[in-house]
Amino acid sequence: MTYTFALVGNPNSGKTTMFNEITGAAQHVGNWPGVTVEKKEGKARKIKEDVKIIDLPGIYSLSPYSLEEIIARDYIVDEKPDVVINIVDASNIERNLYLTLQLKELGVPLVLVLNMIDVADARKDRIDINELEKYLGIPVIPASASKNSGVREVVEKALVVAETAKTGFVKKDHKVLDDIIEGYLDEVEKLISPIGNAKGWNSRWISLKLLEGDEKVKEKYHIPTNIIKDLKSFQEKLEKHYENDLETVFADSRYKYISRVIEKTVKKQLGNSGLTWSDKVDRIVTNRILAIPLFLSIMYAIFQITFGAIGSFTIDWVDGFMSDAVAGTLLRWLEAGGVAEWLRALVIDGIVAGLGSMLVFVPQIMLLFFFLALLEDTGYMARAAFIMDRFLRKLGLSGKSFIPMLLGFGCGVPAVMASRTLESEKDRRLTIILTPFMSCGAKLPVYALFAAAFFSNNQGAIIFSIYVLGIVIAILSGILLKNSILKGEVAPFVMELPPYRIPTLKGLGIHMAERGMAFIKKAGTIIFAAAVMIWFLQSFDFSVQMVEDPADSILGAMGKAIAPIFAPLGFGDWKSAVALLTGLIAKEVVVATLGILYGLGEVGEEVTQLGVALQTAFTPLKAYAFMAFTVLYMPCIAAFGAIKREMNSWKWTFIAVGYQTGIAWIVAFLIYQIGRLFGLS
Amino acid sequence: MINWIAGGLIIGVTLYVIISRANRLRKGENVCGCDCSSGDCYENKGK
Amino acid sequence: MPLTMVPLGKEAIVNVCNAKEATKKFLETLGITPGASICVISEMGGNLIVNIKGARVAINRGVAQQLMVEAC
Repeated sequence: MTYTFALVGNPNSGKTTMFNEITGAAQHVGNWPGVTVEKKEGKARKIKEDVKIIDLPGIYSLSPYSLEEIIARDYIVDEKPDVVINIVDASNIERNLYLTLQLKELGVPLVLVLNMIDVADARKDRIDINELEKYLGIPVIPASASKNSGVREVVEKALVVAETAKTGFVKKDHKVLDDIIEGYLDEVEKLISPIGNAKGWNSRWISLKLLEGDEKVKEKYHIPTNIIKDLKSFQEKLEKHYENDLETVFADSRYKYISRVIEKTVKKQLGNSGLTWSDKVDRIVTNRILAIPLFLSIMYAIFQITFGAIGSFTIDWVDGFMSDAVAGTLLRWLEAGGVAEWLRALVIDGIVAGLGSMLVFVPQIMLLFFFLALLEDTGYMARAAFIMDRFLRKLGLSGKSFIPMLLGFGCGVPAVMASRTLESEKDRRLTIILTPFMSCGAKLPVYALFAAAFFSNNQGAIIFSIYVLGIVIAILSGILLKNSILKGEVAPFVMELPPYRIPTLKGLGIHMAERGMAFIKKAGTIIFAAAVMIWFLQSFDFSVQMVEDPADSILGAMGKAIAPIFAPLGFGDWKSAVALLTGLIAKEVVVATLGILYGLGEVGEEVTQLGVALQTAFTPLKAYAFMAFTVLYMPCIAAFGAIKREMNSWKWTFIAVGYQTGIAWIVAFLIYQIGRLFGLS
Repeated sequence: MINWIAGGLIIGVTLYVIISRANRLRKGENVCGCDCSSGDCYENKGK
Repeated sequence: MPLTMVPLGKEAIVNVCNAKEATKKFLETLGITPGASICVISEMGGNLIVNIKGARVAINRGVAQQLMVEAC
């Protein structure tokens, strides 16, 4: 018999950490709400085979007001997992129990996990587990997923609950809402149950949702109009009795029940009030004068470290390894095998040159993401969204848009997908257009290459300035679009801030390993294919004859055709034009293409030689304009696909990429032309 | 002989990668060729 | 009085929320219901970080102005 257990809980309750501990997976754990928009699946390999674990998005309630809530609720109601494992943050139990009550209302087999019990213990909060079980009528397991304690017990308890549920023995629940509401609820249930029993519905829950005024449930179950009419009169009576609207009445009633439970079961040493050390940090970090300078200094320091001495050291090391060990060995093999000249050229001038030129930057990229992960895991990034809200609001955006944008520093695809969590369609479109301006990890090798070749004394500052350029352009575009084609009210910003946490080495390790592995995987598939294709296109002409000079090749002809477009930007040679074009496959391919076209790959020639070769074609000014164009122009094909899916309209997709490319051209043009006015070349 | 085996392998892998990506793109699935971490990036299966 | 008037570190009781339907609903889910005790932890240009039921919630100025509280 296979069981399915679903993990449900508030954002930041440690759900994904629990998922990782149960399944042995290494899923990325975010320390801000709204990162997970879809469910993830795994098997409880470590504990028991044949148990499927579903990780649902983090939610605060089961009301149908946000996308995550709808996904989670539909899953529980329609797919009927055998047990719902409700992960509760023990250090924040009162708020977390709100969702627990709603899960109880749903009447599904439930196990409550008091996660992060170690944090609550450290704060000397005393939670009476037995009493809590008695009041809630469900099993309660204390656990700490991050310390791997209690994880096995959670799964074992869930198995027991699943077995019990199968026998059909369900304990009669005691009432949670107050007597008056429960009274009306009985009335509604009387109306619903004749239909419900016939169709096998959960009548009590449907009645409750109908009384609460849930439109989604009304539509989904096609409730007859005569029942709706009776329902309306009940609702009016309720509202009149409490002199408040329905949502408030129900939320209030649930929270009152929770207060009573908490009073009996939780003894807090410190109480809810009083400043924690996390609050004291917040007083400084979100201080109105210090906040923005602090944010910028932190980011600047990260770039200085990544692209300073440590970064250069990693480049030299990988570079040496690649050119001596890898390329040298390959060449010896090829010669020993007595391969033909064309195959030797394909491997050395195509694959080694293409992949090698990009792979040297992998350690640097991992280093950058290590620092960003550090900021995220400590909880600082969520504060950054709060800090930026005031600033973004002046520009017509909410701090909420900042989260997709932050994800954009990693990769445009999940960033564009995260825009789904924004309620207003206009905000969503605007965020999708602006997100690709956040420089993604794939563009880093381009800057790293050019900065090392042309600005070796202040690489960190130059690359930081490119990131800032992307952000500034996003902000200016926000003002422009919000005041023209995407007019609308600025959405409110309400977001839970996770407490500051000391990140675990394991968590940071997962982040880094993920980045590194994803890069290497990408190098082995799409960039490999691109390098092979580029080699062919630059070696043959249209009559499939091998050419002496790549300028006469197919790629050369293509490059020459589009190069004039880039001439006013300072890089009108065909090689740069082709590199930008092939960069649409994946942005790392810009570097791979340059590596192939500048004839890298001969043994003994280290990748840093590419920088020297580039100095013949570029000046520092031209290089900067090229980097500026790279950060801004249309994203790679994968992100393009994501934009199309999220926009759900070809028209808007082309508006987005057309705008991005247009802006990139204008900005690079201005940089180059203004630079020339100042006497640069 | 070795020329054709090695060359064929390289070209085969290349074609496979191109065709599978193009196919997924056509179906509107995620072409996660980006360096998104496994946790950030979800394969949309017929959603 | 609106929440923005509450001095830093002072506790207050939520009275009524005049924000838009969806925002109000979300605030209620987070525990900001009439009668709940709320405390301002930090302030930045009118945007607030509040303590509600032990959780920390960031609220922008516009919403905070629509949230009426009573001193206690």
